[in-house]
This record gives sequence, C-alpha cells and structure tokens, in this order.
Amino acid sequence: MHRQADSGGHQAMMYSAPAEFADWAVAFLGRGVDADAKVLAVAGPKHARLLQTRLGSGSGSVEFIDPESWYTTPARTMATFDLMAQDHADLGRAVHILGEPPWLDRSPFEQLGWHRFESLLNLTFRDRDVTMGCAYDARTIDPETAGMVHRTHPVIASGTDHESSPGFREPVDFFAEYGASPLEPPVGPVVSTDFDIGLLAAARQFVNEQAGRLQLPTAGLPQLVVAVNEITTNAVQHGGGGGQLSMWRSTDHVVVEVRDHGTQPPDPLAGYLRPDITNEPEGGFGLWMARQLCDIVELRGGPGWVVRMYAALAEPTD
Amino acid sequence: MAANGGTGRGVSSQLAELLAEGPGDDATAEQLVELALRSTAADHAGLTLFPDGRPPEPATATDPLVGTADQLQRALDEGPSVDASAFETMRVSGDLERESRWPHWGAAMSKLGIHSMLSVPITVSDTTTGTLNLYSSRRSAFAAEHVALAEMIAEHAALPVARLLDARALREGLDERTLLGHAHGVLMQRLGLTAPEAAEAFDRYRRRHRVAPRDLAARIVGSPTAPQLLPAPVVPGSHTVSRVYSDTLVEITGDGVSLRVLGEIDLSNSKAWQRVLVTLAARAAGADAHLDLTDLSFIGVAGARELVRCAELLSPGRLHATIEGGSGLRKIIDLCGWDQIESLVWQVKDDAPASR
Repeated sequence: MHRQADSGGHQAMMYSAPAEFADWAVAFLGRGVDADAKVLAVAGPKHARLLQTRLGSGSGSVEFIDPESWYTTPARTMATFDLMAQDHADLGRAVHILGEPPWLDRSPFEQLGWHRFESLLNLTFRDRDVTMGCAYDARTIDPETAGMVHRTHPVIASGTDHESSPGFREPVDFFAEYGASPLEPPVGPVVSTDFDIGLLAAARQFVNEQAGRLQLPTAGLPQLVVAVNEITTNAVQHGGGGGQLSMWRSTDHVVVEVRDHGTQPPDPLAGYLRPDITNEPEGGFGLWMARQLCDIVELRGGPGWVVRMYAALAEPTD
Repeated sequence: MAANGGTGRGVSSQLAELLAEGPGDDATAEQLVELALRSTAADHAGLTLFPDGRPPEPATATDPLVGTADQLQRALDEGPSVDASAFETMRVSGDLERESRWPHWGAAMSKLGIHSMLSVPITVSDTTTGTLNLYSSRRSAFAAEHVALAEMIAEHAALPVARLLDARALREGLDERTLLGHAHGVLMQRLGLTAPEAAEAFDRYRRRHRVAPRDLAARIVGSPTAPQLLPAPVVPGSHTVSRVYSDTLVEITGDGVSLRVLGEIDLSNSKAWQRVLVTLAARAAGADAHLDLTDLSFIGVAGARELVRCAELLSPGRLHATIEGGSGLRKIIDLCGWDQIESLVWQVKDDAPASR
C-alpha cells in the first residue's frame, strides 16, 4: 500500500524517537525546498534547533514558526491556512508545511475542535498544491487520540515510508460520526432572554451585562458582542425570526448559546471555510465571523440552529 | 408572568415576524420589480411612487443604485421621474451620457456606469401614481420587446402601488386614535385575534420594545421601512446641520455630504442606514464625503458592508471615515478583507494603530 504522498496531501507522522522524527522531517522539508515551494516548519524550540542543525545551509529556505502562535484557535488557524494557500496558489507556488500540534495537553473538548480542524484541512487542500505533515509523538498520545489521527489523516508516515490510512474518514463522515458529540449540559446558573428583530440591541446589552457579571476579561467583550450579534441576526433572518439567548460560565469560558426558531438543521461544516465576502449574506457568513471572533464555536441542530460561542476567561497570552 | 395569557409568546413572535416581513404589499411590488429585472435587459430595477402633492419617492428597488438614480434626480431637479404631471408615456434612453432631455442627470448616471434607462408610468384612472424604472450598463439596451414587457408589468403594478400610497397616507395623515384602530384591526385579521387580545398583544410588544404607539401602529399598517428618512436640505453651499435620520438606536446628523453617526447600527435599522449612505453617495457624486463614526458604539457586518458599498459608489479616496482606534468596525473591515478598498479612507482619531 505504498504511495507517493508528497505532492499535495495531508499526512501524519507518529514517531517513537527523536531520530525518527528528524529523519522524516528533514526528508519532508527537503522535498519542499527542492520543489521551490514555500516551506514552513511549525515546530517547538527543541525540534526547531534539531532541524536547523540537520538542514544546515538548507534551513535558510525554511521559515520556522512557534506552534503556540500558529495553532491559536481552529477557525483562525484555518483562515490563516486558507489565505496562505490562496496567496501562493496565485503565485503558482506550492506550499509545504510541517506542523507539530501543541494542543494535545488541552481539555478533551478543545482537542475535539482540533481533530475537526485536522479533518477539515483535507477540504481546504483539495485542488490546491499544499502538502501538510503533522508530527505526533507516539510515546505520549493516548490510543483514543491515535485513533482520531488515523481518521483525520489520509496518509500515515512511518520512517520514510507512507501508507494510506485504513481508518481515514472523509470530512463529512468524520463530522457525522465524531464531530457531533452531544453538547455538555450547562454548569451552574443559566440566564436567558428571548430576542427578535426589535430586540437585537437588547440582546447585545444582555451579553454586555452578563459577561461582566460572569467576569469575562473586558478585552474579550467587543468581539463576543459582534459574534453574538451576527448569530442572533442570522436567527432573525434565516431561523424563524428569533430565538433564545442563554449565558453561563464554565470552568474556562463564558458560554453564550443561541437557539433559533428555525426548522432547518445546519450543515455541520458551515462557517469553517472563508465565504465569498462579496456575496449577499448567507447563513454561513455570520457563523464564519463568529468562529473567527470566538475561542470555540459549537454548532448543532435542534431542530433549528443551536450555536454555542465560548470566550476564554483567561487573558490571551500573545 | 400574570400577563402571559392566551396571547402570549406565540402571538408576540408572530407579530415580530409580521413586522420583519412587512404587511405583504411591498412583497408584491418587489416581486414585480424582480420580474422586470429578469424579463428585460435591465441590470437594476425599481419603483418610484408619486404621492399626491409630494415629491417622488423611491419605493422598491433591486439594489442601492436605483435609489441613487432617484436621489440624483431630486438633487439635480431633472430626470425622467421629476415631474409626475408630465409623465404619461414611457421614456427610454440608449445613451445617457449624451441625453439632451436631462443632460446633468444623464451625465451623472453614465459616471455610475449606467448608459441606458427605460421608465414606464403606472397609472390609475388616468392619474400617474408611480413609475417602473429599469437601468442597464450597456448602451441601447432596451428594445421594443422590453418596452412592451415593462408596460405589461407596470399595469400589474397599479394595485400594489395604490396600496403602498394608501399605507403612506395612513401613516402620515391619520390621527393617532384612528391609526391605532387600524393597527388593532390588522392584528385581528392577520393573527386571528379578538379585539381585546389584539390590544393586549399591541401593548405588550410596545412596552417590551419601547416604541411609541404611533410608530408601532404605522409599522403594522404601513410599509416596514418606517420610520421615514427625513430629507435633508439640498441647498448648494448650505452647511445647515440637521437630523438626517433617527430611531431608538441611532441618530444621524449632518449637512448633506458630511454626516455624524451616534448610536448603534444593526439589522433593525440597516435599511434606513443603507438609504442614508446612498443619499450621501448621491449628494457627494464627484466630491468628498465625510462620515464621523467616533460615536458609533456598535455596527454589525451587514452595516459595515453597506459602508463599503457606499464607498464603492464614489471615486477612489472620496469617502473619509473617522473612527476611534481599536473600533469594532475596523476589526470587521479587516477580518472581511475590506481594508483594501481604495475609495474608503480611514482617519483614526487617537494614536492606536488601525492596521491588522
């Protein structure tokens, strides 16, 4: 089941020793440099130093990026990917990216968001000359995470070989099977209010007041208010004229939930890929905006749209 | 909670939907305008109303350009729809740049990229009540077959136009008691309520949304575009600062080509915001326009999009928008990739950087 997987594609490397990582990474990056592609290495400081030593003078053609500044939130990283792929496609240049996910120690809930991101990358890369290699340390990831990696990457690298992943699921199937886990019931007290077209301003005021009461850092508030406004506006325009807005505080986030009065459940992939901004607003546009502005956005059907927006209680580190 | 009787949430949300959708007459007018657009060579289409004894008033349009065309006619005091009494037959032009009947209006339209227009009267018993106006970016776009189609559509527009005019007259002319009575009647008929239920639903909605009874009644009886845009003075060289538009969320003041916005813009006033901006673009055709947005406390994506569209109606560098550093508007503009638009010049009031 060997295949040449380095011209476009999305592969995972599950390494068990530093040397195994380095052999694979040097070969992976080298092929990008040889093809005169834009080559990025999103690697932590230890691996970055190792690769710079191994690549020698060749490392000048590789741009090194800190994983924490690259993997910010799934939606924002997706937008960065999308823009970069588009910019280089316009120049007729391939893109070669090595990525070292820094999110494996985050909460299971956040990790699921990143697995969805890995799955969606397969759509972003379709019809584009982008090659992505994701490095996972097989010694530290649990079997459940390993299973997810097999489902989201069509190709698994081991040593310098590539094998297609038998567990791979197309993004649509992945979302249907693994993406739509039931939403956690709210923890602690929940405050709610109804809204319609005449109450959009009141809904914004509600978010302002409650976010303060729930101790959201003020720096995160304007973005959250814009996101909620777009989602409530969507509900008025496409979701039966209005809905219910609820807020509570979880361990790490202030959570805002919008349930509309619509009858059409959402496409689970909606709002991840940058919409055509010049077009008239569609349902996916406000959602794309909310995904860019919030730390996490969860979307479910129930029977209309249920959108949960999460704003982090901790100040961003960057 | 005691107030939550038989006319509770269900009726309230139906009423909200009714207000969001409008009473139905506009939809019919809109359908006819869409039909005209699809069935002729037009790129833009709209209806202009001729309210009895009042200046022509744009009613329904496929896009802002139609409103601009109407505003330009008013500002320049020439054009096919300026004089209702003289409008009995259709008017067509295949080269607006060299149109001798309306040289200034024609030249302004050609600058906007519009080179052909077709305007047919809508009549009720020999009185012209409005016009159906079609525009195209191509020269000599409208042939005899298009004229015949447009005239046929205009015949069907007589009834919706009459209803729109009635609704306007009702809203502006009736005393408050009569207007409230009409509004209750519409609620009874459309939502299947008894008279006390209609009154209760009306009062609950009014209190909750903090709108004046007259305004709410006008919205129920008339078109959904109320409250009306107040026309600003069009005296050349005049710098009178006046209120251009206001509602419960926003107040817009200015002197025609320079506006100050105080408050919030969202879906509920986005139509009015669009009209304000198109009017601004029409007044500033060929000159600079200024928008002071430092007291704009909130704007959503739809409102920001209208701002970008307004800028695109003007020549590069003509629309100057003043904002606070770190404003939410700037964040939206950046995220949407609209920061590259050449016609929009940002002036940031404090020292905070406005770049991404």
